[in-house]
Amino acid sequence: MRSPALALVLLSAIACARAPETPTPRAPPPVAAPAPPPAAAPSASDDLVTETPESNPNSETVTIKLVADQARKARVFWGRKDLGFAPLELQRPRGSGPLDLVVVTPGALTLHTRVFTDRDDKLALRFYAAADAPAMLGYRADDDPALKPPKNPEENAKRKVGAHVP
Amino acid sequence: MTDTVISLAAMRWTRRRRALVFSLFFVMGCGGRGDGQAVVSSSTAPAGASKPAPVHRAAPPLPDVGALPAAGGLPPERRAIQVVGGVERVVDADVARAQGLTLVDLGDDWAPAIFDDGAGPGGAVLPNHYRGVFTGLAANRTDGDGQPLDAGDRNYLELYGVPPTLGVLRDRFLADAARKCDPTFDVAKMLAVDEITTWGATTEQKELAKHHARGARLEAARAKANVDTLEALAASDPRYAKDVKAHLRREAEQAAFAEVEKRLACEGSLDLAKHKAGTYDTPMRKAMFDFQQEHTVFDQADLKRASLEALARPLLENDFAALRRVLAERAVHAGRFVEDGSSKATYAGSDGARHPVPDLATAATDAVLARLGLATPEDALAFFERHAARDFRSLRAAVQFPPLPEYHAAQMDLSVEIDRGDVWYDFPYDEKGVRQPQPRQQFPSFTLYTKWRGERVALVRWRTTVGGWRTELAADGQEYLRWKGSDVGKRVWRHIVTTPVWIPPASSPLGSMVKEKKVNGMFVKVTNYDETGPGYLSAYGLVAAIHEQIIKGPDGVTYYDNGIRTHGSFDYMSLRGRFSHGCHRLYNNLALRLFSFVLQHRHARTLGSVALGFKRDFWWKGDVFEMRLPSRGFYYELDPPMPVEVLEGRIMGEREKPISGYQRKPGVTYAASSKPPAASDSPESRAGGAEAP
Repeated sequence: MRSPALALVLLSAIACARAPETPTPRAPPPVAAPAPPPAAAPSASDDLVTETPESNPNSETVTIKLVADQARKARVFWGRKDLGFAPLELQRPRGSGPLDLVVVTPGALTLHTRVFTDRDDKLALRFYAAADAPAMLGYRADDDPALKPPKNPEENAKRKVGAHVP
Repeated sequence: MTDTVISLAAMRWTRRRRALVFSLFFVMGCGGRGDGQAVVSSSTAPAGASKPAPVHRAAPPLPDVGALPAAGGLPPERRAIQVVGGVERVVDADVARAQGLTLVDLGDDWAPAIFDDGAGPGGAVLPNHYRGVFTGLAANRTDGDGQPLDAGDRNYLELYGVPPTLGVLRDRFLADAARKCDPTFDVAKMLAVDEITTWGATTEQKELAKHHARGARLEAARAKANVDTLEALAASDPRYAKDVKAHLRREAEQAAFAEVEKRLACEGSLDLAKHKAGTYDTPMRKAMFDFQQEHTVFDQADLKRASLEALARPLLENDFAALRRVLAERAVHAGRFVEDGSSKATYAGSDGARHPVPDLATAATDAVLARLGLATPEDALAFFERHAARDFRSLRAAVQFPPLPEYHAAQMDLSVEIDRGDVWYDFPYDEKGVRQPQPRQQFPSFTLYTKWRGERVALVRWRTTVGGWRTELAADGQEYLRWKGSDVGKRVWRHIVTTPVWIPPASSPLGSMVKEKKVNGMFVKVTNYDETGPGYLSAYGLVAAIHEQIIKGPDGVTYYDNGIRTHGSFDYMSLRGRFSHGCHRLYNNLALRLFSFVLQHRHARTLGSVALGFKRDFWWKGDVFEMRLPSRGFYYELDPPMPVEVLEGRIMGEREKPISGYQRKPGVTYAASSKPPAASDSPESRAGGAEAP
């Protein structure tokens, strides 16, 4: 819940969207007397940063950019659909729901990620080699297919290249 | 819908007139009665009567307060409907407003105003992205991500705060009217039991086998005893009484179960081709759960009394109850009030008398139903038959709502009090690992007050949750018990957030962070955003308020977030007595009512979507999954903040303060050398003021 940015100035500039129906605001209600801080020091509340306004929030489509080194040959799938190799740019109807993507890259673990259509989105794809896995959050050696004997050579071959055929 | 007056069959009107007049009663004024006219004419007087027959005075025609003249040729944005004298007409919405009537939105594009876009600096639009998802869910158009539903899929989300649209209800009414299910099942058999015992698949087979074996044993004993019935066997030999009772109860349950199967099959929710008769298999369980969600029965796929009673009702009666619930939400939001009869409080009126805080929700719902001429399920069916689906793209009713109490104002001095009720700090197990009872008479309650004439007036009082002993996954990968408290004391609400996002701690079990989902025609593994949100399944529900502690220092006021929120919740069953991790949960629909009301009656700024930019990569079964949470939610800022106080409640048991840190859970085998690790210091972890054991 921490945010490094300070944007109270921006917030104060935001117009009052819910204008009071009476011209003069009433006196504020009594604010609770400050209680002593708890034994463990609490954290100061975040300074909130609103999302950057879009240049054209009413456009019918949004642009989604997937950034990756072309040399990685990262192939992007959206369900059955092969979207091609990253880097790539997609146009989708605004507000049509997120796209859950699977990105398959030789020499890297298959990546499952999501891009959004609420506004323009840009995502730099980050890949992990199989050797990186043990250091990752959630890694369990007993669940690692790379450490299990292959059931057949075909499966083994697929695993080596990180193949994912949706 | 046409602009012209729509005539209803005279017969239909006659049948329902009495109920309609009853419903209209409260919207009518006290005065204004016309002179009653004799209804017994000389021609109906008894022949040869020596003196005039007594004159029977019928109830005089009452003025139909709020009825407007029919208006033709209006542009769509000025149209509303009313049923006057049994006839539906189009009226002028501008005239309705001018006369103090409330326009109740019946359109399929309705969402609570709290999901509306806001206005930013210079009038820039601050889009609330969830509005489109909410309306898509309500209309059975999309899933929780806003993507199209598969053909035949339905959302049943009332219990999650998303009521169906009237267009969806129209489909239900028309389909159910065509089904004629009522004669196909036996209500008496269904209601002959209080509940039907169900089991998981493996246990069910064993239990059914035991039942058959017991039946065979008892039958043999009956024959040997030479009596006619099992009841007679039990009476003649008390050794069999217990078994006979259990056997007959199970027989009755099986008979009731067969009727439930018929009912669900007739409704089209149970596919008999996939279901094995007499078993509570997956198709049956799913059909039952859908039924319960559709009709807001809190049984969670169990077959208890509430479910059986709902199943025993005629289909259209259940649909009518759904219509009433849907109109209640529309009415409450249109009326900008929150009072629902839950507070039982009174207030001092300007007349010097005390008045009960009214149940405006019920009164306004009744007013909508009456103004639309909807007194019975048949009225509702007729309403939906005369309106095409396209009518519900934008349809409004012009309704005279009950008068608001005098304490209502554009700006109200609102505050909240949460009473934790009975609280046990004692460890819930003894030294032998035996669970110790910790009964509660007083459950946690949430009360919204307004200040009026020098006193606090309770507007609503609802059940809520508080923290307690919870299982938590520690950094060492082992599960421990930990007291998760609710932050006691005077705090404020400064921010109200729609579709708030919850960031799971890194220690969250990763299995729940991945799920299977159909994506563009194919099932794939995806990161599970259900709990994080934004969405109705989010841990923080559809809307939340952040509890903040004010600390005054030399540099001014600082707000501290101790990790506690009051929020809507998908976990509606938890509001019946379970514990939270410290937050105060409300039913999602009540949370939407509450926070809409607060924003309508307090000064607030719309901040819009607040950036989060959260990203977490994790490994799961050989693949990498990325969780991306770009926004915290859509924020409103209350200015000034609103007071909220959490009362300590009644401390039960021996301990006066909670135990801090992780405690070993009885029955769990821990690594021999392990000592519980230090508990995390997240805001949630600090709440409750725990101390060392």
